[in-house]
Amino acid sequence: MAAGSAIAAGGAQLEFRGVTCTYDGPPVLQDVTLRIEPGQLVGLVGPSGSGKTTFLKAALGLVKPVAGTILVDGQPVDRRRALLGYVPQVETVDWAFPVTVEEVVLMGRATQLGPWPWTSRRARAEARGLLARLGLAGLERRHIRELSGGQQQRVFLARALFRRPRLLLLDEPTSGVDIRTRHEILHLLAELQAQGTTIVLSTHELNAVATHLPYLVCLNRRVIAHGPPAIVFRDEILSRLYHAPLHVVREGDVAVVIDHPWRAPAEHNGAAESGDALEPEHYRSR
Amino acid sequence: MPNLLEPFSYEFFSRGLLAAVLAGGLCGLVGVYVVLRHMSYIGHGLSHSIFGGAVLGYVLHLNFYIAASVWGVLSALLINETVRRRRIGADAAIGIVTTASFALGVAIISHARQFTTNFEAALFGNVLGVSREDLLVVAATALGCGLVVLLAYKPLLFATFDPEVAEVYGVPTAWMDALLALVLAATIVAAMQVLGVTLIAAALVIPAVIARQLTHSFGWMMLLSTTVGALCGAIGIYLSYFFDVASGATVVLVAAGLFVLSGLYADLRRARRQRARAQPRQQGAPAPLD
Repeated sequence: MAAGSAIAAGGAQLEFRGVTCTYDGPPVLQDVTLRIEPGQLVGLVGPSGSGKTTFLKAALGLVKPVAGTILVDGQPVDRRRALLGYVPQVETVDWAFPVTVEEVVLMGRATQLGPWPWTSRRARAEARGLLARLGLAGLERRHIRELSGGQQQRVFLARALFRRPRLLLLDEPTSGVDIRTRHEILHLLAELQAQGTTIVLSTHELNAVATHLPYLVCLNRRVIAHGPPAIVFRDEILSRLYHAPLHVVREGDVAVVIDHPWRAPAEHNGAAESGDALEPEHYRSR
Repeated sequence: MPNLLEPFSYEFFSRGLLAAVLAGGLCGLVGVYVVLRHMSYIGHGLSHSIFGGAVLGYVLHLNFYIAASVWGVLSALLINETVRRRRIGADAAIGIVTTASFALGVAIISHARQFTTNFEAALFGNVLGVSREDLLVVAATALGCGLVVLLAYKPLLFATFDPEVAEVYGVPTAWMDALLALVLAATIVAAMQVLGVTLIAAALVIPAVIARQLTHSFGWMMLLSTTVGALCGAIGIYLSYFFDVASGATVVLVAAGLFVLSGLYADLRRARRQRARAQPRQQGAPAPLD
């Protein structure tokens, strides 16, 4: 599985300036100020309900901030839609809907290929080429539910890449896929980044995903910390992020987060049970 | 043996048949969106709501189609807004708006009993009483809605499958929702005379569900659903002539029969495919069809 050079265009810059978002209640994001530079590959980490999805939706213009501004390449996001690619959580997809793999990928340019049912041979060939590069050759006419979890994830990635986005946003792209597929997806994203695309993805998998990303933003309503894993993976930052005692073990370049400290630090007594602290999404409904 | 071609010698029959084919096909086409957007209840409610408008129009001496259309468009947009806002339960809000409107029609009719019979067609459908004007309206609506669905195919598909991402990628989803609400209202107004308020919901839903069982592709589903709808219209009217049964009811019963058959066929195909997967494929044997 290799991404050809045709997929990517140069990256775009994403900037949050004092952004606060709410859904008729307490803020989900509060005073978030952050700049993601062109060509960065950034992971958003934080517990369930920490505002990761809201961050992505705000960047996409789907959630309007009540305060602050969001700029893509210096312009409001509504004027920069053509630069965006978005891969939603697979859980949000209606898998019973009658669409084939090719129909999904072509949606990526629904507003550019003409509104009528037929699509030019060139655009379809391009979609097929893209599918082939993502290891999905020959599956064009399959229904989306007939694919494996990793293939499904890649179909929706293909739909986003069909737009040749300069800013690619992915919501939990590695949830529900096996280890091999997770590696493939991460390799593919690294390749896209190497070609210049700016990529922001959310993940709740600290050890499996976050440690392998070059840059992390720790989000829990506010930005708790940001930087390479070597800098943000510290006991005090992660414990503050998850409101639970977490411990980081280093082995050379690799940092591993564990949620069973040998002894509970005194200041955390009475804090949340540590059992579900590492990957709380498994235990709580969204 | 009865002469099977006999009904075609009557002009009213040919006209009714044509109207039923057009109305059935139109309902099949629009029904794809009704089913995939989980709007069956809206279709059901909207048809009842439009009935209220039609009766009100009759009392005010307005043209049936003009009164029904105005009322239908207003109800459709009101329902569309209610669903989009999601403040109160959409189904409850729709129930209130449309049933109140239907009740208004019933109240007016029951107060002035002399024109009760005029509305029997609107309630249960009377395809054999289709006038030249009715046929013209059905044909024009079928053409108009067909063009809209064809010319907005990609944005409508995207907004139906994945409205959030469609919005990000520049599809005007609010306009697409409003457009579909209007298409649905027009379809109901045009098909009311043929199929009847109480039976339209079934004519909208059944062909689409049949088509869904036969294909996984959206494009094929639209083609199949339209064809099945038109076919049900034709067979239903033909049978209603011979058995002397209300036309709307016959059309719906034919559709329901086809639904049972398509369900059986889908089950059989699934079972066959599972068997084919369980057995190691023999050399030279054809691969199981998708």
